Amino acid sequence: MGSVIEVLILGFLISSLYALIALGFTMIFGVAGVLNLAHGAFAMVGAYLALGALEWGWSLPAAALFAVVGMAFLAPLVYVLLIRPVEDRPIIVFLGTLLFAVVLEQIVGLFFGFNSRIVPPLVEGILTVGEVRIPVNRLAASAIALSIIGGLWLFVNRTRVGKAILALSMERRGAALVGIPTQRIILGVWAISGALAAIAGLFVGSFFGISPLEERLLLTIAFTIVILGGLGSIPGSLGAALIIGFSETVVQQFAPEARGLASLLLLMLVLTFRPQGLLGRAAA
Amino acid sequence: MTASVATSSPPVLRVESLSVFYGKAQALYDISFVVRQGEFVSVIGPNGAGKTTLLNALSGLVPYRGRILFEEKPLPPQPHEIVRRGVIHCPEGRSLFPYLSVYDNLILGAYRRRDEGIVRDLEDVYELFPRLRERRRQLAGTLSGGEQQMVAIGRALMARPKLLMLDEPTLGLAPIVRAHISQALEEIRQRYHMTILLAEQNAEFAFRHSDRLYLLETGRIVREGTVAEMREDPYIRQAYLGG
Amino acid sequence: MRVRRLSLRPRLGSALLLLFFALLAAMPYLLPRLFPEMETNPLLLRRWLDILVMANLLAVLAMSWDLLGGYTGQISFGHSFFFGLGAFTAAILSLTVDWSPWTVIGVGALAAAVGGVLIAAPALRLHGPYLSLMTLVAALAFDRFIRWLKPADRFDLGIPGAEGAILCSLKCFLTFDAVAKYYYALALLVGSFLVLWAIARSRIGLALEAIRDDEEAAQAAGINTAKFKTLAFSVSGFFAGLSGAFYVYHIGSASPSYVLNLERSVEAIATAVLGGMGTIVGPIFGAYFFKLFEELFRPLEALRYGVLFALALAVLLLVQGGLLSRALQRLRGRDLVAVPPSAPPPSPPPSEGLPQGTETQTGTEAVRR
Repeated sequence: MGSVIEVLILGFLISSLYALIALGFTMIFGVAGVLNLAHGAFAMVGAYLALGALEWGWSLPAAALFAVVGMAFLAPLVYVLLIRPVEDRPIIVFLGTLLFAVVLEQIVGLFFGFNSRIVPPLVEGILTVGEVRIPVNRLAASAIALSIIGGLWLFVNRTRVGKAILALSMERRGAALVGIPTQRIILGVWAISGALAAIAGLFVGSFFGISPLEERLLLTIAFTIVILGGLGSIPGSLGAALIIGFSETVVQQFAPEARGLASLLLLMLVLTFRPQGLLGRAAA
Repeated sequence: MTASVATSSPPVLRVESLSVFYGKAQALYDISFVVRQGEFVSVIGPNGAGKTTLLNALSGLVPYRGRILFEEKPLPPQPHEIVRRGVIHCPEGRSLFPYLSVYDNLILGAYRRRDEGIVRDLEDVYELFPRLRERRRQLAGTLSGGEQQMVAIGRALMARPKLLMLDEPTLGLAPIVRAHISQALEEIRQRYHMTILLAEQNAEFAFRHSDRLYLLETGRIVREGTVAEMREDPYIRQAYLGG
Repeated sequence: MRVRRLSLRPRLGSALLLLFFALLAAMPYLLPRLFPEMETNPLLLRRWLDILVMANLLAVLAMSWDLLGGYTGQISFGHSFFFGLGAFTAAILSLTVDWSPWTVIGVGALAAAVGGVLIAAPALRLHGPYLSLMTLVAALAFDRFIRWLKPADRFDLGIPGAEGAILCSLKCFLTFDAVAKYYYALALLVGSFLVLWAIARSRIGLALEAIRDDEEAAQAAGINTAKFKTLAFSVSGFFAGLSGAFYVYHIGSASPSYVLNLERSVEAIATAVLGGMGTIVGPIFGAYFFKLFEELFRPLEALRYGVLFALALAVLLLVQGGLLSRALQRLRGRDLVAVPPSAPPPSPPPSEGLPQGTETQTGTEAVRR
C-alpha cells in the first residue's frame, strides 16, 4: 500500500517538473510562433551553469540564481542572433534550433564531459509518514515548480503586461496597433522561457542527474506534453504533464523494461487520431 | 494639384511622396496628401488600390519610403511608438483579441496610457455602444460582426486618438448595423472634434461623412477635392457614385 | 518556403560529378600511390577504405533524408527509424534464412519502405512540427521496443552488455576483400543517387517541390498530395533502410545504440544541410566532408561534432536562410527579391540626406501574424 501511495506522490512531483519544462516551450510557441527545439538544451545548459558556478566555489543558492538569470539572458540573445533573422521561414527555424541544440550539447560536453552529473539537492532529508518515504528535496522542488506555475498564471491573467502577452499570442497585428511593444514583449517571453527551462534543468539535475545528451529527453518530454495538450495551450500542457508524469512513474515502478514505450505509444495514438491535442486550443 | 481645402486649420498629418514595396512589386507610388486639424478625410478607391497599405504604412505595419509628418514631426518607425503619438489605426478585419473579453479588449486599447481618464473613457465607449456594456464579459471572438466592429472602434477610442484611422469599418455588415456605425461616427466627431482618416471602398458611405476625399487607383492618387467638388467630377460620378 | 539550389550549370555539374565518381572509383589504386605507408601497411589502406564506405552509407542516408526534407518539406527527425529498421531486418534475416546477402539487404530496404508507408499514413494528416514529432517518436519507440524485445536472445547471439544488439558477423558479411566491399558501397552510392536524382528530376520531383512550397496550393492544382507524400516517405525509407542494411553487412552487427541512435538522424540532417538541402547531390559532398573531417580531426575528439554541427548551422542560416544574400544585397543597395508575400521585406535603404521618417522600419517583423 505504501508503495502505491509513494508512486502516486512521486508521479505528481515529477508531473509538476514536466509541466515546468513544457510551459516555457509552449509559451514561446504561443507568443512568438517559434517551436524552439533548443528548449531542452536550455534546461541542460541551465543545470550546467549551476554546476559550473558550484565548481567555482559558489554556494548552491547563488549558483542556482546564476543559472536562472543566466538563461534569462541567453535565451533572448539566441532569439535575436539566430532565430529572428530567419523567423519567416519555419523549416529553417526548426532545423536551426535543432542544430543549435546539438552544438550546445557539444560545447557543454567539451567543458564538463558527457557523463551524467548530479546537482546537489536544495534540501536534504527524507520525509517519512507511516510507510511512505519521500525525499524532501523532491517535495521542495515540486512546491517551487507549482508556485512558479501559479505565479505565472496570475501574472499572465491578472496584470497589464500579462494581458499584453495574451493579446500578442492571439493577434499580433492587433497587439501592435494598441501600442503593445511587441518585440520587447517577445524578448521578455524568451527570458521567462529561458528562466523556466533553467529551473526545470536544475530540478531534473537534482532528481535524476543530467548529462549533455539528456537534453534530448527533456525536449522530447516537453514536445510530447505540448502536443498532447494542444500547441500553445497552457492549461492543456498542465493536464498533459500530469498524464505523462503519472504514466512514466507508474510504468517505471511496475514494468521498468517498458519505460518510455507507454507514453510514446500514447503519443503516436494521439498524433494519429487527434493531432490538435487532447484538449485543443483554449484561452490560457 | 488643386489646393481647394475647405478648412483653413493647419495640417496635422502631412504625407510626402510615400512609396511602399512588397518585394519588387510597388504598392504605392509617391503618395502625397495632408489631413487638417478636425477634418474628416476619406481615401476611396477600388479593392486593391492600396488603401489598406496606406494606413498600414501610417501605423508602422509596413515599411515605406518617403516622409510622414504628424504635428510637424516625423512619425517614429515602430507601431507602438506611433500609437503613443496619438495616431490610432482601427484595422481592416478588426484584429480583435478573440479569447479575451470585450472589457479586456477595450482596456488594452488604452495600453499606452497611464492617466486617470481611462475609466471615464470606458464609460463613454459604453455610452456610445450600449451593446458592449451588456457583452463586456463575453469573449470578443464570440460576438457578431457588427458587435466586433463596435469593439474595434471602441478599442481605438480608448487610446484617445488625435488622429483616428478607420479601415473599411462597415465591410460585410448588414445595412442596419452599418447605419448604427455611421451614426456612431457622427457622434464621435461631434463629441471629440476628432481628426479622422477613413479608407473606404463604399463611396456613398465616405461621401456622407467626409469633408474632403482622395481617390486612390492602383497605388496613385488620381483625384482629390472637397465633397462638393468630387461629387461634380464626371469620372467619379460615373465610376463610383453610380452615374 | 524556398530552398536554394546549387546553381552549377547542368552540364558542368554533371561533368564534375562524373569526375568525382571516377576519382572515387580510382581510390583503391590512388590511395597507396598518394600515401606510400598504405602500400606497406595494408591494414591502413583497409581502414581508409572502410571510412569511405561509411561516407557512402552516410551519403545514401542523407540523400534519402533530402528527398523527404529538402524536396518535399517533410522534416524528419527520425531517419534513424528507417536506418534501424533496415539494419535490424537485415541482421535478423541473416540469422534466420539462407538468402544471399543482396536479397537480405534488399528485403531490409523494403521493410524500411513499408515503415515509411506506415509513418506516412498518420503523417498525411499531420503538418510541420506534428509530423516531425511523429517521426521522432517512431524512432524513439522502435529503439525502446528493440531494447525491450531483445531479439538477440532468441538466437543466443546478443552482445553482452549491449541491450538489444544482434551480433551476426558470421552470417552477415559480404566479403573479406576490402577493395571489393569498397566497390559494392560505391555502387550503392551511385545507384541510389541515380534513382533519387531521376525521381527528383521527374514530374514526381516537381510535385514534391510543389507540396513543399505550398501544400494547399499543390492540392488545389490537382496534385494528389497524399499519394506523393506517401511515395516520398516510402522511397526515402527505402534508401535509408538500404543504407542501414548494408551497414550491418559492413560491420557485422546491429546495435540499437548505434543504428537507432538519434545521432544518425542528426548526422543525416547536418550532412544534408552542409551539402545543400533540396539538391540530392549536395548530401554526397556533405557526407564526404563530414566523414573526412571526423577522421582527420580525430585528436579533437567530441569537439569535431561541435564544429561540424556549428558549420551546418552556419550554412543553414547563411545560405539556406538567405542571410548571406540579404546581407550582400544590402551592401549593394539593391531591392530585395523573392520574399514570400506573407513577410514584407525591409524597405530598401534610405537615400541619403532625408530625415528620420524615411528610415527602414523594423516594426514590421513584430506584426506579421
